[in-house]
Amino acid sequence: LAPRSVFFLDASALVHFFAPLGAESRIIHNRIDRLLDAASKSSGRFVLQIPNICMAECAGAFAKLCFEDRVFGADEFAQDAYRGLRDALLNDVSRERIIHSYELRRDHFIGIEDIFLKDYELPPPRQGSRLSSHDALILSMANEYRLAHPADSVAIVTDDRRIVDFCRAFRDDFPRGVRISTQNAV
Amino acid sequence: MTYGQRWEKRLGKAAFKRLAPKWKRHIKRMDALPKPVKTISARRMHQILGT
Repeated sequence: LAPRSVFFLDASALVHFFAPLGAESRIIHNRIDRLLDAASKSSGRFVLQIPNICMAECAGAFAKLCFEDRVFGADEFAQDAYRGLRDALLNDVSRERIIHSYELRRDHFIGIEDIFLKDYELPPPRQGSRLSSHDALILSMANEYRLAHPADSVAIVTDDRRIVDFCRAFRDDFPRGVRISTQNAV
Repeated sequence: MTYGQRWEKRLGKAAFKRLAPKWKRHIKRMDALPKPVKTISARRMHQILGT
């Protein structure tokens, strides 16, 4: 059997998929849609994963969009929109497993200090910030998967510039990083 | 064009009809998502997502 392609989607990519709210969002939405299309045709050889910590991050972003920015209206409209977005994500991940949830485990914390050491070997970011602890955990989870399944091609699909820069700088030791707002994953 | 119509256009009518039920349910859910009443700047979206 051919090796599987595994894509780890983080919240900065997935929120745009469920709430495409501008031109850039729609580009990301369409690129993730292409990933789903490929997964639907692949008979399990093409797998989409979401680190489970990103589920909480998605919920937080949906809450900000609905209740702070009120992009779907106020009061009960905001409540309904939040429930709709949350249910769509939960159904795709937990019930239908269109996107598989990848569980955070104790061993993902092992060596996480090295990720920060490596991050500080790189020049400071021109925009944005250095890796957050959340970013480091996503890198650790995807990398643990890559090492445990050596035949698979593993990529992190994100809109976070620093994660992608990190993956490029340490390409031999970490999965490929795809900045979904500027490049296609497939 | 709706999400479902885009899938149908991409796959063709016959293949779209043959899609597994879980994918049909996914498409139905995506089409039922709330519609925004206002836009949001790319800058604000980056701020919300910390990117």
